[in-house]
Amino acid sequence: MPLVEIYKLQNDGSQQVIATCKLADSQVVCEGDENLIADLNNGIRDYTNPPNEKLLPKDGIRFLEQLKFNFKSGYLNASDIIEN
Amino acid sequence: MENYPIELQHEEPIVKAVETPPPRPLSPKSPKEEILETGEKADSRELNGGMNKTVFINIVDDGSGIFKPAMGEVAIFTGIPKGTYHKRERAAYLVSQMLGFNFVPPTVIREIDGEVGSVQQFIPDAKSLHQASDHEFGPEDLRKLWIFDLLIYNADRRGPNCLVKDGHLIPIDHGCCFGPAFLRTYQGFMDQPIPADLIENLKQFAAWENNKSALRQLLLELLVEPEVDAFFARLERVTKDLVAQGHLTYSAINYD
Repeated sequence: MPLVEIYKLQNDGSQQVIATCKLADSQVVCEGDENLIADLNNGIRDYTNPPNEKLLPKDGIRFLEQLKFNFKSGYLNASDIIEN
Repeated sequence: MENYPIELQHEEPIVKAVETPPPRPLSPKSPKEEILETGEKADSRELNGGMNKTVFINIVDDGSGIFKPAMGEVAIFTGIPKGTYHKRERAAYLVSQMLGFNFVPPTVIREIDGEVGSVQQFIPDAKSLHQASDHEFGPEDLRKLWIFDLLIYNADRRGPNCLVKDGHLIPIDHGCCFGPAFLRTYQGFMDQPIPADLIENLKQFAAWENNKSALRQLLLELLVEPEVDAFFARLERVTKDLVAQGHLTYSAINYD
């Protein structure tokens, strides 16, 4: 089952997993920090398309693939797709 | 997305005669910038995730930073080549400081372990925008951020690249700025009043030729000349509109 972890940077430089997004039945289900999950469910940016394109969890693997482009500041980073 | 050169509107200068403008000293490097640039690295940890290489560094006896080496950059926007993101990070900080926004954390360029990149002061205990509630920062902060993003032509402003701490927004992650395209869906606060202190800062900056020249020279060390020219053209249009109207109009925003 493909999944992506979203990490929050701590003051000591360690990273805490605050959300996990998993592909289930061709859709993505995210669990973890409630505010972040609500934000994710509103959609993320698709960097392979014009900037007004948004990806939603229902877009499945494309949503997972684009998470690391949306979360890359260091304070919040998303992993590559992990095959669990 | 557009290619260079960018079509610029040529307009009359905002200030035709300088009459005892308020003094606005040139900005030497701040003590924090000096520390970030020359402080000894105590230790470092490469961070998991993201599309670019990011490294958390501790500086001996003096805080921490986020290091983004040029070699770890991945290009995602046409017209913003990999290998230039770190310079745009520094350029955004300089604009923030010299135009009076003062909200981008100190950012320098330096070499660490044989890699050149940007080092930005780490902000401890900061929330990301999604964690903060609306009352934790003022609506004026968002309007200032919008103006800032327009001036630096930010192609990539979203919640994850904005922090909140002590009642203020702290924008970060400016690798995708000063390029040929702006985030066009980011309409912001068109026709809404912009904070008076921001307008005054821009007005003062427009009146002080020394500072404009200094900023231009600093930006030319980081960006190509068409990008610097485009920035100053946007700055002139935006300042003129804000001084005259108190808000931006669509005519002042030349996306193309």
